[in-house]
Amino acid sequence: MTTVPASVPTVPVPRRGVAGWLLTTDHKRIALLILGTALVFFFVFGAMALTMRSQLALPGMSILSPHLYSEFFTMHGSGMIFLAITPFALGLGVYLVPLQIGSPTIAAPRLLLFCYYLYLFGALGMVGGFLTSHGAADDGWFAYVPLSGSEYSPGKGMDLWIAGTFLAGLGQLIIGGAILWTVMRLRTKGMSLMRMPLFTWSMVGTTLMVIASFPALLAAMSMLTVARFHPGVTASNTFNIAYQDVFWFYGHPVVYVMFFPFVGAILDVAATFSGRRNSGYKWTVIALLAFSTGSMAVWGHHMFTTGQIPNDYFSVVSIFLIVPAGLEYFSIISTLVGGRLVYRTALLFAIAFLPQFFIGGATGVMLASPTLDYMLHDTYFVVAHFHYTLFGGSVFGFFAGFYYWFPKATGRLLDERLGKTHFWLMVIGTNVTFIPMFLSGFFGMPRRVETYPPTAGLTTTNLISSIGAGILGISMVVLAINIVKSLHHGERAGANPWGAFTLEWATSSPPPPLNFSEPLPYVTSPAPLLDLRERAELDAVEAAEGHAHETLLAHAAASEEEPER
Amino acid sequence: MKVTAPVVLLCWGLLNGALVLVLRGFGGTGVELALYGTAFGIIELFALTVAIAASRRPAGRELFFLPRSALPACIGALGVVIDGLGLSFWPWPLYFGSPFIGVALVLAWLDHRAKPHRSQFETMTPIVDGLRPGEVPPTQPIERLAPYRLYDPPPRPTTGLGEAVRALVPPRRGRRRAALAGALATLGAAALAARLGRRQEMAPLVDQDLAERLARASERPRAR
Repeated sequence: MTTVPASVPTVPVPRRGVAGWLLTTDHKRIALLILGTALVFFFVFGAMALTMRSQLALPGMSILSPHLYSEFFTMHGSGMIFLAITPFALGLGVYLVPLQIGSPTIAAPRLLLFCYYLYLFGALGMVGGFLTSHGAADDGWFAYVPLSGSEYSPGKGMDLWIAGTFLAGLGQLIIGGAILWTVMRLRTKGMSLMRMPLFTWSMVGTTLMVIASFPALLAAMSMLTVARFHPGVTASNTFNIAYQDVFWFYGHPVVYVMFFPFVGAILDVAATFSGRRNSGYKWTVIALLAFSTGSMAVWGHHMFTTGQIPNDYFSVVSIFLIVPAGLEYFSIISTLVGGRLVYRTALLFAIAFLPQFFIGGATGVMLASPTLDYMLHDTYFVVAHFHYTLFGGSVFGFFAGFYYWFPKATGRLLDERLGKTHFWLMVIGTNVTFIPMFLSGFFGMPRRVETYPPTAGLTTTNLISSIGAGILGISMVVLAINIVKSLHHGERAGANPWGAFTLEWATSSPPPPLNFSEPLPYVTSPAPLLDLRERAELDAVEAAEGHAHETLLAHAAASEEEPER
Repeated sequence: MKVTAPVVLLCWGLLNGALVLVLRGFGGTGVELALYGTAFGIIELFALTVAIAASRRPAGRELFFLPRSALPACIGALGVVIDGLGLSFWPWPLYFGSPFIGVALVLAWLDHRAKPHRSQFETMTPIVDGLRPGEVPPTQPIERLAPYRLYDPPPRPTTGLGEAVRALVPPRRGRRRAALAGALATLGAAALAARLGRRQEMAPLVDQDLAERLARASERPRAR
């Protein structure tokens, strides 16, 4: 038997089979559980969106009843936000942050598994509302009171939604804390804060927002519970506005929680596939931190029309956010410009993110003006705006990261041809779906309606949107085929298939239980593997020069000796 | 100023604190200020915790606790989920869920005491936060994260209950039968409890009197 020195960390033999996954404390497996579950929910709630678009394709369709339509848009919105995209964001962090900072594990891995179960069963509880007599929750993802009180929303579906949201939110809050603690305390030697990869910095911004804002979600759900047990409290407008304040204090930062990690992913993807370091590293870090700070202060712009908040403050702060966002854009673009671009699918998603998120951001600046917001509030314009940020931006960023890190997690490359098909279908589908929604909103179509009059002039734009949604559905089928095919027959990836620069590529694919079994390079910059490569090249050049110099000296010595002879 | 973890957290919190003050200047109400102020407080508290941890043990020398078993997480989550989702229907799931949480906490505590699973990278020297001016960067990967070995976990401390059961029910098939009987008995007990719970006269979930009184109070014109 091998004797293990006391100073050498040891790890129990990982279990095999299903138990190995359900009882794991390996952060990579927990992350894959989170990401896999989130991907399933992404497909489920995406299918709901497709059904709603079918209902709205033409006026007077009867695929969904008005009540079921309300349930579908509520579950689509809340499911995508609480159960799909936020877990995508946090799951990526759980997988990658320890690897990027050279840590063998994450802080509190067992607590993370506990949080995964809270998220999973909370999600099942929310969806389980469909099985109750009154159906699932049907009050929109923000569940405003008094509409979501027991008087107007009777039945257990709403109660399950509240409990499920509370559990999932609690799990995500703790996951955020664990990631932040890992970054703050478990970095490897030489990995100072200003040498961390930008994805890890984006996770710092994300988790700071999680810790500061997710408790407000728990408070909001507690307020809803009180409102359902004692509907009288909603008779006071103070309570209702306070609920909106508390909810949006979570509801706005969570949009950035769903966006930041994917900006980080795009920054990493841009650096790798352009073959150069991130441009403006320091300013990008400052921009990420300033952006996350500002995002905590703008929740009130969702409440302009209530007349109960200082509109001027929230308007100014919301518009201020374009400054750090612009810095991040400049960083991505200036990294790409001048690089030797390799157009893999991951980079294509990263490039498409830029104009699409710009549309979402620019229309966000429009909505940050109370004057315009009074006109556009609760119209399809708002729906188009946030789908451009969350789908055109976040989901594209997620897929950039997905195609980039899939080989690291599975050891196999995704099929490039299917990947590019998926990409082009998504680009076409996204823009065909959401651009007409801006027009629908401008023509006055309100949100959350299951039909519209044929004479309202909304038929064409809705039909185009529905066709676009169908294209998006097809793109998801292509993605699913690609995942299944690549998992079984994909090309072997090797440790660093892209020639990337950060530490997660300094280990095998997939990484071993404690992440690194090989020596880690000394970290002297945010791109340690590029440093190594450059040093090796420099050494080779110096060696060659030294050799040439010696040869010259030898020749000189020989020529000096000749006359004597 | 050196960019350290507590400094980043502190500054992020202080920036938010400044925005709270600006909001106050723009006429923010009590709820808004309380909300934002609380978030600011949470972040500063986190910064303080990180600062204390950093003062006790420098970064890179943190203890890596490798849990022996993930079972407490599963059992604890089961308890919390039973409590959380069950309360949407009846109050009595609280009695079922809470013991699971207790058991999970005890198991986690027992696991935490097992020293072989607590590992420390003692060979590591304090973290080098940057090369000094003029210092030549190393040309070789000089540091090695301590390698790890797989090993069979040592037998865990038991209560003796398992041995007693094994002694009482020796044959394999008998053990399966006992397990099946136990599962059936548990299901039966749960069904009985559900039945009893349904028979009970439940307190109304909605306090109608209070609701009516509040509604009446809100309709009443306020005295000036």
